[in-house]
Amino acid sequence: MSIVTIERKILAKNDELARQNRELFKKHKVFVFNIVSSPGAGKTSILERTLEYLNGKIKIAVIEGDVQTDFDARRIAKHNVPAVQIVTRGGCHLDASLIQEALQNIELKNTQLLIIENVGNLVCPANYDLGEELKVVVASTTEGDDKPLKYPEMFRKAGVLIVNKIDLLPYLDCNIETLKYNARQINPKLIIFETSCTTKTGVGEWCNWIIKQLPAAE
Amino acid sequence: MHEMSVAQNILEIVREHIPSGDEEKVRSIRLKIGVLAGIVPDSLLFCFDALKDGSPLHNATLDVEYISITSQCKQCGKTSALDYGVFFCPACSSADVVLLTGNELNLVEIELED
Repeated sequence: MSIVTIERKILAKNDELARQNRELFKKHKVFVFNIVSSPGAGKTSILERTLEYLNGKIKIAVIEGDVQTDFDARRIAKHNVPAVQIVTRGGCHLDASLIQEALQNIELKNTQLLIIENVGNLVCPANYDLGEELKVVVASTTEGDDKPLKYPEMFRKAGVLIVNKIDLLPYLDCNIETLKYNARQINPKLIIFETSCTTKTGVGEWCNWIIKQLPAAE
Repeated sequence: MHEMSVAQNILEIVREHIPSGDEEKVRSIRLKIGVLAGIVPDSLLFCFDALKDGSPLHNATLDVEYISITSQCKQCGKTSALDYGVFFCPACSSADVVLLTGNELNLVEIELED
């Protein structure tokens, strides 16, 4: 038997493409976040509220990832924001090469904020760097307060947690303090926002935080 | 089910390193997978087998070493083993810990029959 030593990351190819994406974002001074959650937590609704609040104030573009259909991109397009839909046709996550392809249809030099909405899945997207500045994980109150403990990889890798659907708390067996405590057990550095896309509670705080993250214009 | 794309990446790396005439000689592919890498071992083995069948790499098997979580505390400096999903220093309870191992998803070496 003979041995060939490799010592390489299995996802090195994706990491290299993500590095190229990151360089491109830096060059054009674009702040990019990758929004992840389980299906139905409210990623697209948060995006819509965010666009309503920020559109006109800053230049935004959106990349929409979905397993099937372009329903979400159509929802976003109503806000008059450039939106590119990636349909993964069964694929459970976006990867850096899909983002690179989508970027061909986005004018980065005319963009200050790029939002990437990942496929609804709290497992697979944790492994794939897209070149984003940070991951924003959404956990809705209807999913229960133990979600962070069930998906520690994603909550550990995220920089921001949005607890969504807080207007439903009176009707649910979900303790928001327990949810936040569980999230901080996994990742003490998480920045946490609480939102309701129905009442628009918390949307302003979240959007004002985004504005503060934008790279200074020259 | 990103194990399928991980299995595809493994086969691609092997093909990059092994001359095409030698692919049938590949017996084992050694991996290091951290428990925080988000990989379901059985799924990875299933996907790998599905992809290798009928290809020149059909004799290859995956030899996986699972890596547990260790951390270094930035407060007390101690290196400790952590349980899955608990990110506090067992020595001083600080949350300011850096993970040393547990996130690996690496292809280490390939074993070929002579």
